[in-house]
Amino acid sequence: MAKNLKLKSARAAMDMSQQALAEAVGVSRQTINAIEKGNYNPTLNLCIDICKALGKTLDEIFWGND
Amino acid sequence: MSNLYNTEETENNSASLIDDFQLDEMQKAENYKIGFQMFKVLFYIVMFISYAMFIISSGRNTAMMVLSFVLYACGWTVYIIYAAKASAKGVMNPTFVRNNTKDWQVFAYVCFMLLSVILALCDIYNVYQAVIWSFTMIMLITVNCFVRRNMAVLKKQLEEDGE
Amino acid sequence: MEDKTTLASGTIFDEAGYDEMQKAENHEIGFRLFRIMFFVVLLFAMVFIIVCSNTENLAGTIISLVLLATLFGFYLLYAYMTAKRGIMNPKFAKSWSGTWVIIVYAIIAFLWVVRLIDDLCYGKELFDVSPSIMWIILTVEAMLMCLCAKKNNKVLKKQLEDDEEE
Repeated sequence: MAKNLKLKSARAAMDMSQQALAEAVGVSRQTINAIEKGNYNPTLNLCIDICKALGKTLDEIFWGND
Repeated sequence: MSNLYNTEETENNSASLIDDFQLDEMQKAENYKIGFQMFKVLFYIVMFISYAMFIISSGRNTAMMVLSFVLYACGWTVYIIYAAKASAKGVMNPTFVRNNTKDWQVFAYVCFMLLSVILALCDIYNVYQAVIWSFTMIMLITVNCFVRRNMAVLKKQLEEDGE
Repeated sequence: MEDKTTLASGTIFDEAGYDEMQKAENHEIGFRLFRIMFFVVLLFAMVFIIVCSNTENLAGTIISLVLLATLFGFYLLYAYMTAKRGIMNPKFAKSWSGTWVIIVYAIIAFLWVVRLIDDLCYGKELFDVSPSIMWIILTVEAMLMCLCAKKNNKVLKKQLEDDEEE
């Protein structure tokens, strides 16, 4: 699985740490780390929660080519 | 040392290893996958050991025969529970379902059960062997029922959406 | 909807040809049953050891020890596989990663080994010494569990450090 660089840059743009994002969406930092590295496919609900936390759409973070 | 897990510092810091409490979705998914693989292998090992116990104790050691039956029954009970839970969601293995919905199978299981009882009454089989056979046939019939339930659940799931 | 391909075995546990939803559901069911089955069979194995020891049943003693060792092998394997990915239960990992755990269990294991050697020197049979063997298995397993918990912490730390931004 490819790395999710869009998530990482969206998080960086909000000046949010992995820990802060993890707390915001109710998962562990390990999971956010795994998603960014492309080691885990989050459920749709988690994708939506992450987008809401970062103020982005699903397309902007999880869909389309890197 | 920082709290690697970000767990709450509660008074109760105990948990078993095979526990999904306080795991998030990724951790749960990975643990479930590992647990499932382990379960498959453990099940067959337990059934093999119960059979080995039966063979070793057969006719000589009543206590061990009873214990072997207890272990055998535990294995089958877990199998039935798996079948029940999987069929409740309609996620039973399709090939398994296809191979276990024949009507003649239930008839054959009932015949085998009656045969084992008759053989025991005629002193050809000992009582314990008859009990094991009858119990196994009852379990197979129960699994067959759950297979049919799986089909009914799946049909309902797909019908509700008009497809 | 039906998969027309010939699946490998078609046993109830076979997940060949499953999609992600079906796999996820089956995995969860299997996990929960693994947990129940493990503890039930463990209880059975321990009762079995005691019964065989008291009734001087050699074959039963051997089988019960093999069963116990197999069960703990599974427990250890589970611990290792979760530790390798850093996904061990956090509370469990936290409780078991202290170095003092290894020390305490090493001492207990040593005491039971001494007891076992002493019993064997006095010519005791396997069914007499099976409780000692059981305790040695338990304590060695506990020590290895501690090592797995430490490995889990290391893996988790490395995963999070690799991406350290602060």
